Amino acid sequence: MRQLTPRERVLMAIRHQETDRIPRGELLVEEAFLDRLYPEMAKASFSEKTRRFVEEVGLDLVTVRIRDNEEGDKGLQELRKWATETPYFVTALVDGLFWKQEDPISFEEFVLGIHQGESRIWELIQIKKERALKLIQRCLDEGAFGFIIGDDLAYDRGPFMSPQDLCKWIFPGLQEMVEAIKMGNGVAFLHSCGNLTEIIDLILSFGFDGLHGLAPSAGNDPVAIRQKTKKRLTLMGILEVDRLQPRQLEAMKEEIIRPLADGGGYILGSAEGLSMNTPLDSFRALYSGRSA
Amino acid sequence: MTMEGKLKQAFLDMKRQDAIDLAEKDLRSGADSFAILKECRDAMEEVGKRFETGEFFLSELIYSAEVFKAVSALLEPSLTSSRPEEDSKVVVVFGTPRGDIHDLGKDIVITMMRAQGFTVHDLGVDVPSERFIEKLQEVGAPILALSALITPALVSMRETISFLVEKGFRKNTFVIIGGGVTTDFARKEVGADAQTLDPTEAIRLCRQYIQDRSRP
Repeated sequence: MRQLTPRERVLMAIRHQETDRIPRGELLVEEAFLDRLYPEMAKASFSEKTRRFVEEVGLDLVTVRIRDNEEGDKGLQELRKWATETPYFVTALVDGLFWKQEDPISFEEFVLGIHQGESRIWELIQIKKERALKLIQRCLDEGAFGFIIGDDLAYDRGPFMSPQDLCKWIFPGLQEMVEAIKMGNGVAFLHSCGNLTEIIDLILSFGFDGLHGLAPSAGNDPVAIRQKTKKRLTLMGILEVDRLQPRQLEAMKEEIIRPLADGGGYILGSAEGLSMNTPLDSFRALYSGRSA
Repeated sequence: MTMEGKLKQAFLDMKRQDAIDLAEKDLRSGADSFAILKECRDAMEEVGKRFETGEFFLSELIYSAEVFKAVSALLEPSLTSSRPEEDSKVVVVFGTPRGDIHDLGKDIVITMMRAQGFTVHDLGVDVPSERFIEKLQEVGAPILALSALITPALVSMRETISFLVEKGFRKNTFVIIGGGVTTDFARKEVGADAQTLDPTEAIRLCRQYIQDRSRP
């Protein structure tokens, strides 16, 4: 097989087609991590450090965080540069609709409000959805090939709320976001921490192309998820670089990731993104070798 | 259904206002405050069981904790200082260690513990090791509960437990940890006695410890 371009590699993996090697991509690479990796680049911009990182690690999918605030325009400019000046598959990381720390109410108020059927919670979710839809369109206009919708719906025991409550309050808006992405010929991934086993079928029903995260320590079984979803969902991440030792990561790559990636349908990367807490030796083990 | 059964049912049906109205009605009709409190505790115990089986989710746990707090606040003025003996048997010092400011999980577990008659001293968040030891000494608590959501807090947990050893408290203190970042592996690393993500199991483990240590 000829050497594929990064974009071809990611698209073919998403279509569950064989690729020349497993594509690579990260949810988030924090500047604090890059500062530890490249201490000699202390004075360089985040953009410069990121470019070096992407080239050295051999990423195929590059994610740009797009915030719905005054930083949003900077993010969109950055996205445009990656999309128009590089060969990478560029995705926009946007917020979903479940509670976030930036929301004007606490998690408890959010949950209590849903239980009590409070209209102000519904209105908050609708406002977030409308803003997300506008942001999606702006990202598509700037050249985004795909999206990762970041929505922490679960923790280790499963979803924070019952699937019924999620279907009533969160999922309709999430589905609208996926439809907007698809209308713009984009690819839609969902990122959520926690154990998603109970809501995999629902996630599939919205038309998501892929799922990021799936940390086994949270109770996810990537192999079982692959068996259940077959070629309908591309899995991304899975490798818990913050928790596992290098040899554990190498073993997991060999025993679980390689079979999972056989025939496409997997993008290699960490389950949680790369942060100031990520051990450098584990990060190097994650990306060691060319085929994985 | 008796009036008693209705209050418990209101909890299980997640009907906050109904629960408050029923408790108020019970009080006005001269019902014993401790009996009402007991029914609320029974309800919380059932909520915990349903959470364990997966019928209830974290949102139901949070909601019922809020209902319990609201009803407890109603009952508080009429509860005398001479609480039943069981209330003070299990004394816990609880907090989120230094470096972590998350308190949601901690607050849920504390509410459920109090619902079961535990005396819980909540030190809040970002708590230094010295403060935990001071409080354990001050109140004579045999149980230390630490909750954390972020990885750096595990380091603080380990420091707190090391400090317990240094001050000679470790042998007589049951240390239980919980929160999203904790696992059994983390428990061993920090030197705790128990780890759980389940409030009901936390209550069971604490009770078990008290029972075991009171055996001759």
